[in-house]
Amino acid sequence: MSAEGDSGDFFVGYLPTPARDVRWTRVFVIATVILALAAAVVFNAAAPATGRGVWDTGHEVTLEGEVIAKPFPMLRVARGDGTAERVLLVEMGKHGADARVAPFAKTDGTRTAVRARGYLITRDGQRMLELSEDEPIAVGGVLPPAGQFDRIGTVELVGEIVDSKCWLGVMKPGDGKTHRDCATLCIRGGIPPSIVCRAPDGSMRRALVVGQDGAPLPFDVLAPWIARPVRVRGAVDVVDGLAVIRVTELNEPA
Amino acid sequence: MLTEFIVETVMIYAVIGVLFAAAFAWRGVAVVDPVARHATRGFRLLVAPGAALLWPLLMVRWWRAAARDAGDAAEVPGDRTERWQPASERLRSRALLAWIVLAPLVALVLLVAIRSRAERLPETRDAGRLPEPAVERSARP
Amino acid sequence: MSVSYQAVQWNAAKKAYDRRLALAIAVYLGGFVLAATAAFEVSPIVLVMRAFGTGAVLLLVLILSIGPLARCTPRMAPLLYNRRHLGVTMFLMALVHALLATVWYHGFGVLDPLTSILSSSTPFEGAAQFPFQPLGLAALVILFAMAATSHDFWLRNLSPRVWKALHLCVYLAFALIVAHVAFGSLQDAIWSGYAWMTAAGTAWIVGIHLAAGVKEFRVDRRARALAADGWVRVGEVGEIEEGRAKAVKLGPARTVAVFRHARGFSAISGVCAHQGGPLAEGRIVDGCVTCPWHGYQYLAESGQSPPPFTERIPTYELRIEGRTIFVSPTPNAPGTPVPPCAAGEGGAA
Repeated sequence: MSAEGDSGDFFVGYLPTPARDVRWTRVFVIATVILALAAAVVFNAAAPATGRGVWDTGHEVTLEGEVIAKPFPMLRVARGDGTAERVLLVEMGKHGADARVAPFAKTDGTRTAVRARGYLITRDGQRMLELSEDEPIAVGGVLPPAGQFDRIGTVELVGEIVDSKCWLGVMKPGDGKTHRDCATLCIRGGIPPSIVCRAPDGSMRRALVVGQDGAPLPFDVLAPWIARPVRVRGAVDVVDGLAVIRVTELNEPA
Repeated sequence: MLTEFIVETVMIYAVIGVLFAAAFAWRGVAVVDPVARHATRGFRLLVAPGAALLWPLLMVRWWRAAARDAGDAAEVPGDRTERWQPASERLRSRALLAWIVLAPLVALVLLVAIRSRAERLPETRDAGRLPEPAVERSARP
Repeated sequence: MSVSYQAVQWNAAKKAYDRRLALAIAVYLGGFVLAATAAFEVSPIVLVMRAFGTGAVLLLVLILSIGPLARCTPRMAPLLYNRRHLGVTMFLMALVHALLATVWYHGFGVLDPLTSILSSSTPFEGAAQFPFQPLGLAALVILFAMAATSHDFWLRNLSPRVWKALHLCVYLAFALIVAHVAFGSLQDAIWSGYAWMTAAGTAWIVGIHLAAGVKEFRVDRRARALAADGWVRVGEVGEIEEGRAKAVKLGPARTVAVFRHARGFSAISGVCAHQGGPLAEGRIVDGCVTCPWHGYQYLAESGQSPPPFTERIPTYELRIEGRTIFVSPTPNAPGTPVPPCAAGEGGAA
């Protein structure tokens, strides 16, 4: 009965593991972990760049300036050099601030100064304010100097349509296919869409996307083109340093 | 429309499942399988997710088991071996068949996906006419 | 074996197994975070999402490697033994990945997250636009079904056949996950090394399963050729070592394990009542036939598990003519005692 009463080199879970199995398993497991770590390195080496956006959730700030409701909620804020800057206003989560901002913006052309509390989202000098939850906007404060307006003219850009909020730093990455559904949901919720593209000097440039009439494009028109390579034609104006493209054509890049 | 219908159906199924799972783990499990009569709480907890998933099946089993004479002896494991053994062994050759079907599909998916991989955004001349980003102001806090 | 159910039937080997599994996962997640900090900065939630997602995929590759490798070498048995804990762990990692992705990408919006997953992608506009999240969701549903039914209670109550069939769906889940990765993160990758790695991992899994399947298919075909009319020839007495068995195919899908033990030769069903493990690859340990998968035991003469266990499997009649063993093609009812057949005896015909 040599084979009985002892499992020899035959593995049975509830009996002591044969020494050969112990050695072999150890080598196999260590090799597997090393391979897995190598895979993690490859994955991260292949991950795309995420930009230098910062979402400063730690500090609530108050900005004051002129409130603008159209095409998207914005605040014109005075810069130190006597010019003005346009800071986009959005709500928390994936919601635009249209409803919150509309009551403050006059439709008769008079300018309203407000103070807005929230958290700054900044990427390469382009700023956005995510409004705080409880009554973040109050009338008051000083108006910024008169605006600057440059007409660039008709351009043709190949780039990607992103939601401005994520791209400016709320999500890293805030572009690309893995982020598409989020960008779609953001834009559906009223976050201003932007087109980002690469200039000949390699830097990334951004323009807010609006329709030919200067109003936001309907979601259904924009939806199929979000977060994928797209060729956009339209007239660009730069207002207070912020580019806005009035889109006449959206199609697939050649 | 279809998506909403699917989501609602799944939600209703899941809610019923969760309610059923609680009742099943508490009482039903021991009715369906007498071996579970003295089962631990940990086991009852582990069995609940599966009950929530398979509640229509278990509801029928519970019904039938309760209708049976409560004193019936439990079926001994292995007694049905003869019935499922041939099918069980056939599964092995099915597994080969599954891989023969899956292999070209998976290869096709990978090939198509790798070919359609996003390329780096091209540089466009007109993009240079947009305002330059103020990189120096982007320093991290 | 079934006396009463507990949450987990831990023993020393399983505890050691689980401890090492937890350690290996911790090492991986830590290593991933280190590797990620050397690359471009990503949001913390994305970092955790990626670490768990890649970890789950790699764990699935390991899980799917164990089966075919175990058919090549018995040294894989210790890894095979507690594979279901690997499976449940893999599901939990995938779940963490999925929940984070759902909250991060589909939460906080104007749609409920599930509707967003199922609707916001723009499908069927070419491969680059193909939605990848529903693919991951489908795989997760399969993995959930498997994890939720991994306890032996389900094996017993769904029947091993249904249970095995359900758990073979892991192959489909694998294919869905490959597609999820290929149409997802691979689309955004800026370095083709990632594509090559994905292709290599997929080729490995598909390759070893095809190879193992073909090998088994050939064995099956050869075994069938041995069948003669009436009783089936098993082989010569000297072919079977003490404490071991020989597998005999009765028809295309019925295996008998003919064991040689201290009291002679006995034939039992070649399929374990637990998960359908190959009993003929088992050995006699402590006087009992012991399944190589999870150590379920049976008495060779009766096909019954030793008390207090209650499993029983069919037995078969044997006869020995000269030096040649024959087996009856008709199974006895499970647990029917059959006197062992000694070499040199005439045997009952």
